[in-house]
Amino acid sequence: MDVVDAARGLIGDTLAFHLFFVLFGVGLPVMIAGLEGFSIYKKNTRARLVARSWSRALTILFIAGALSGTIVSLQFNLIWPTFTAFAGKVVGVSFALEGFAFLIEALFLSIYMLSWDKIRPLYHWLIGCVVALSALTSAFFITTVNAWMNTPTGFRLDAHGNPIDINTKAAVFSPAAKTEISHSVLSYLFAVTLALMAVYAWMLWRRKLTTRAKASAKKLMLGLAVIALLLGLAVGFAGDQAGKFDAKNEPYKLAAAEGLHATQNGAPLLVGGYVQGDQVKDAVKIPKLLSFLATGDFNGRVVGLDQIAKGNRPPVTVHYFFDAMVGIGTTSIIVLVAYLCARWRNWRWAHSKTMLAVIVGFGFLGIFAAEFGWMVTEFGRQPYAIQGVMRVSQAATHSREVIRFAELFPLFYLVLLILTVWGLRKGVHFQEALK
Amino acid sequence: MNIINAAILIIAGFFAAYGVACSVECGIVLKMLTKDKVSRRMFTPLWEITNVLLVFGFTALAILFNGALASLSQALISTLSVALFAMLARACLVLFIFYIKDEDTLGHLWVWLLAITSFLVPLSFAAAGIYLLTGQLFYQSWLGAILGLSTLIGLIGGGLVMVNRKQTGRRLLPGELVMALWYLLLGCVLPLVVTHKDTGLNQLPILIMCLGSGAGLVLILASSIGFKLIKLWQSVVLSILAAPLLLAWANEPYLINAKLTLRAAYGAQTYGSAVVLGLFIMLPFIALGGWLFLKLLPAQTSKKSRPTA
Repeated sequence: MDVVDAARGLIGDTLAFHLFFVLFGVGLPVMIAGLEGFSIYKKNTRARLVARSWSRALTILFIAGALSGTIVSLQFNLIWPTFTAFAGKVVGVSFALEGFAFLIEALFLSIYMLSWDKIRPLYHWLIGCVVALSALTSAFFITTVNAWMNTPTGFRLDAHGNPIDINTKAAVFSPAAKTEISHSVLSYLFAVTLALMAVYAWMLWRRKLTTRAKASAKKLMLGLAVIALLLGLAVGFAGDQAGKFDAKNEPYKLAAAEGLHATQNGAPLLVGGYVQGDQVKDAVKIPKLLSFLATGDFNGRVVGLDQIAKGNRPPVTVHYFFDAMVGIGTTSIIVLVAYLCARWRNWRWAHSKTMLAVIVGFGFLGIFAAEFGWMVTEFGRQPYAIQGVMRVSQAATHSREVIRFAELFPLFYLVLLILTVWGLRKGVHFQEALK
Repeated sequence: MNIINAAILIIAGFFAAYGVACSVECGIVLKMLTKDKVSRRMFTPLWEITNVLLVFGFTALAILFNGALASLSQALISTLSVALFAMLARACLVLFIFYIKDEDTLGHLWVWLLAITSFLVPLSFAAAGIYLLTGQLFYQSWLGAILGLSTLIGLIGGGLVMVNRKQTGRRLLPGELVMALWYLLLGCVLPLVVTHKDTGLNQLPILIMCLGSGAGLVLILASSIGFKLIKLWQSVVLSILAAPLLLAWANEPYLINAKLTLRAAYGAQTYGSAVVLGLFIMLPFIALGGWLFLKLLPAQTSKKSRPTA
C-alpha cells in the first residue's frame, strides 16, 4: 500500500464511521424537537417521555459523533494538508461556520440533557430547537465544502496553481450546493425516521409489551411511517434533481454510476450487473430511461466515459453503490406505502412478524443507503480531491506514518461502534417510555 | 495588536479552554481512582462534548494559518495520532463504564485505563504545542521537557483543586501542593531555562508568567492559613487559561519557533478578520454555555442514583 492509498483508505474509513453518527446527529435533534413540541402543544406526557428516551440515545450517539468529528477535522489537517490549505483559502468560511454551529450544538445539547425536568418545558423545548437548528446549520455548511469540491467555483488559479481573486460567496454557494445539501440532509432525516420506526417494530416483534405499550408503539410507528413516506418522496425528488444536475455539471460521475461507456442519445438505464473494466455486464437494460431521467427527454444525449482520458476516469464500481442506494430508497418507499395501506385498511399483517422484521431491516438499510450515497459522491469524483483542480495524489501528505495508522484506526472504530450499539441497548430504555 | 496576533491568541484561547475542561476531567478520574462517590457522579459522558473546543481550535488554525499545514502535518502526525487513539480509547471506556458495566462490578483496571487515556489526550496536544514553541519534539530540548512536565503537573494539580472545591480547614490538600509545584516550575524553572538557553522566546510574557505564578503561590499559601482573597479553583482556572496565551505571545513573531513566522503561515487574508470577529462574537456564547453546564451539573450529581444523561 502506498501513502496515497493509505491516506485515501484512512479518510474513507473515518468518514464512513463518522457519517453513521452524523445522520443521527442531524436527524435525531429535529425529530426530538418535533416530538417535544407536539407533547407541549397536546399536553401529552407520554410523547414527552418518548422524546426524552430519544434524547438519551442522541447523547450516546453524540459522544462517538463528536469524537469522530474531531478525528475527521484533525485528519484533514494532518493527512490532507495541501487540500486543507487550498480549500481553507477559498471555502474556509464554511469550515469556520460549521465549527460555530457544531460548538453551539454541543453546548446546548449538554444543557438540554442536564435540564430535563429542571426548567419549564417550553424553555427546554426552545433549547432543543437550538440544538436542532445548529445541527442543520452545521450539516449545511460542511456539505457546501463537499459541493465546492465537486464543482469548484469562486476563484482563479495563478501561474503557481494558487487560488487568487477569491469570491467567498460564489465558493460557498457553488453550483452543486443546492442539490447536494437537499439530497443529503433529507436522506439523513429519512434514515433516522426509518431507524426509529425499526426500534418500535423490534419491540413489537421481540419484546413482551403491555397492551398499552403495544398501542403506543403502534401509534408511534404510524406517525413515523407517515413522516418517513413524505421524507422518502422528498429524497427521491431531490435525488432526481441531483441526477439531472450531475448530467450537466458532473457527467463522468453519472456515467460511472450508470456504467455508461459510450456517449449516446436515448441511453438505457442499467440495473444490477457486474463491473468489468469500464463496462457493466449482464445488467437489466431499460431502454432510453437514463436519457429521460438525466435530461427529461427520452432521446436526450448523455455523456459517457469515452469522453474523458482513461487516467481521469472515476471507477465504475460506483455503479454498485448507486444501485444499492437507489434500490434501498425505492423499496423502502414501497414498504412504507404497504404498511400505511395495511394500517388504513386495518389489515392484520401490518404488525405481522414478517412485516415487523422487514421494517427492522429497513431501519439498518436506510443508514447504509446514506453511506452508499456518499460513496457515489466521493468515488465518483476520483481521481480528484477538488474536481479538475487537485488530484488526490497531490492533496495527500508524504508521511509514511499514514500507512501504519490506516490499519490501526479502523480497529478502534469497530470497537467504538460495538460499544455504542451496546451502550444504546443497555442505556436507553425505549420500552419504559411507552408504559 | 494586528489581526494575525489576534488570530493566534484566539486559537490559543480555545486550546486553553480545552485545557481547563481536560484538567477537570483528569481531576474527576483521579478522584474516581480513590473510589470517591461524589466525583463518580460528576463523571458524565457529556464531558466528551468538550472535544468540540479542540475541533474549533484546529479548524481555526488550519484556516487562518494554512501556510503551516504541510510542515505541521509532517512533524506532528505521530504525536497527534497518539492523541486521536487516546481519544478513541477514552470514548470506548466512557461508554463502557457509564452505560454498559454496572457500578458494583466495575473493576479498578477500567478506571486506571480511563485515567491513562484522559491524561494522554491533553499531553499529546501539549506536545504539539511544545513543537510550535521550540521547533523540536518535546524530549529534544530542556524547554520542551520542562513544558511537558509542567503540563502533567498542571493537569493533576488543577484537576484536583477544581474537583475538591469545598475544602475546609487550614491544611494544604494534595491538589494544592501539586499546584504549588506547578507554579514553582512555571515561575522559577521555566524563566531560568528561557534566560539561560537560547530559546528565542520573548522575555516579557515569561516575566508576566513568573509574576502570575508567584501570585498563585501566594494565594495557595494564604489559603493554607485560612485567608482567601479569591476561591482557589478560580485562580487555577485563570492560570490554566493564561499559560497558553502567554506562551503564544512569547513565541511571537513565530508560529513554529525559528522555523516559520506567523505572517508567512497566515493565509486567509480575504476573510481572516471575519473569522476572528466571529470567534469573538462566539466567546460570550461559549462562556454562557459553559456556565449553564457547570450550574446544571451539581443538580445532576445530587441525585442518589446514577445520572441519566
